[in-house]
Amino acid sequence: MEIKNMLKLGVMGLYGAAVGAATLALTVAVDVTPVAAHGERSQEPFLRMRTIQWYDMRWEPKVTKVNDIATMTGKFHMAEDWPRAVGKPDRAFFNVGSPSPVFVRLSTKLNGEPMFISGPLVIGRDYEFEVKLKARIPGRHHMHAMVNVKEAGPIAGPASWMNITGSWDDFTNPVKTLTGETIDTETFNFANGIFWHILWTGLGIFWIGYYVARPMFLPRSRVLLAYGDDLLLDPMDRKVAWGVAILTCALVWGGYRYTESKHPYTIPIQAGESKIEPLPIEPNPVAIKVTHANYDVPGRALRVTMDITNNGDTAINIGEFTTAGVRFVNELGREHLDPDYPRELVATGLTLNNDAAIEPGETREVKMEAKDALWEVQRLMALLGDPESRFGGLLMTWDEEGNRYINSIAGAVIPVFTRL
Amino acid sequence: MMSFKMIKKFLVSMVVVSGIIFSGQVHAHGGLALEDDLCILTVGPYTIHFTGYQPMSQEEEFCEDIPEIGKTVVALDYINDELRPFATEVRIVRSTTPLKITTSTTSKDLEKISDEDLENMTIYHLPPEVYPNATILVEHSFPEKGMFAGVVTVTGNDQEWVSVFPFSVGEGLPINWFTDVLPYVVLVAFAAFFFLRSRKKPEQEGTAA
Repeated sequence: MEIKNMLKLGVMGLYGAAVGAATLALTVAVDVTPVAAHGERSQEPFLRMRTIQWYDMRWEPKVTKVNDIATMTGKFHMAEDWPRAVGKPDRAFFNVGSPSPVFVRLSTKLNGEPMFISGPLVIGRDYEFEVKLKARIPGRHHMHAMVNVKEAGPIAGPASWMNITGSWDDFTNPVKTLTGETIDTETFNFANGIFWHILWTGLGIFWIGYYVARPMFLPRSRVLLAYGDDLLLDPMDRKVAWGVAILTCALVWGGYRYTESKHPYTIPIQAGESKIEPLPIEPNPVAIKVTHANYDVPGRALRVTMDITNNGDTAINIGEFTTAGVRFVNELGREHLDPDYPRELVATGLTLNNDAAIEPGETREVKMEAKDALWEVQRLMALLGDPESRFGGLLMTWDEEGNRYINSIAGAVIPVFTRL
Repeated sequence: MMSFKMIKKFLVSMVVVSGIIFSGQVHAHGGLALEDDLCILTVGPYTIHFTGYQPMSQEEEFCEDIPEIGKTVVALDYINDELRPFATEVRIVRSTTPLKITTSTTSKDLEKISDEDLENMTIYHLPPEVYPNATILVEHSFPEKGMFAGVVTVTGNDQEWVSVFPFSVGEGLPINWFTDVLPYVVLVAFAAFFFLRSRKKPEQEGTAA
């Protein structure tokens, strides 16, 4: 093929790209709809049900003024039935999911220890967290607890709406540096940041633009493969390449020298690994074995049959089944339900075939039904389309003295179209 | 005859315009519509998720029109929690005298008919009831094809909201020509155009030589 044809094809490629960009631009321009929350319902159900199992979550206070502190606290259990297809939590980081930095995170503690770098979490164990947040941007925000797991991605927990009042202009975040100087991280070196962004972006655009104009990458590559680099060698290209290389090195070296002289005492960004021990294992006299589970597709009900053994000294009762942040409660569960827990994540449709307490030493086959539209609204039963259709969650029981026991349960689930 | 440039401009315009068409939300009969891939029934200020199943005849869920006659299951899931304490009544009416149901039938058309006629038209009725689990199951077997309308009435806080959605039974799954057919036509047209052009060129070049 002649060079002329190759160049023509390159121009057509550019033409195609322009058409694509125009289509995308028109699509965005015509179909502008507001976005609520973060698409957490689109996250695969097996990630939400069988990895990080959240409980005792609290968001306080629900209304915060700009500059005031809010906290997010809670616990999570690392599910024993961790999916085979999901990366194991050998390197995980506790995070917060929010619509842009509406809060500034001041600290994160896991089991009382600061967690500012990632580290391993142990499957089958529990962790307690506390996140301190400083209100920054006014509005009504959907705030998630979240754990980022290497090779699994972000695993979002339940979210609550938190309101921030006041004016963003009043936000300050003063921090005392090593040298005793107090800076406001909201505005500190803002112009400097803009300058470096513009500088590097400008240099990048120039570098790409130069080769786009003389001519495009694909025709150049094809000419190179077909005829070697003789046709493409241009003395001006060499000069420009040398010029950009020297300028880049000079900017990097000069920038570092300038920063070193202006800020001689700095702390490097921390690497390494956090080593946080899980919470101690609490004695649990309840043993549960799931023997069967099905999901009534139109009835929106998960039905689980399980053998429950009470190895304790007092009778126990089932009160709650929680999965993916959705809490299915019966009358007992309602008594222990935090009234501030997001109402849209509470389902009262937890029923048992036998409400009598399980006596000490007794093993009973229990048939539990968790029925609510939330299975569909939260898109949890999309798992029926997975090659591994398994449910997971925490079953909570209480003894007569009010002690709570938590068991992580899981099992294969079969879709059915029948009523109970 | 159209020149190459004109054909190219036409095809490009088609692609760009199709982008606009596909980007819009699809609206449908009465209170029921497909929004962001969810079948939504609007009742006053509230929304209910509509999912239709015909487990005996097909795997696909459906929105509004019921593809086949026979056993049909519809799940109505409240999206707004505010609906949980409210009472909801569900009714399915068939197209008959005095109301011929069409795709443009609304609640105003139903208001015009008497209670007695409404009862005569009704083929399925769930009396007003509170659904604390936020899900309503409608099970009915349609013995024949035709036009019907679903009537969902929600009562609460001394107010009443009615949503009517006409639907057909037994007409198969609807085809959306813009989303189901046009993209493939455009794709094939593009492919054919460039294929024919690439075949034609060497011959022309050979002749010229």
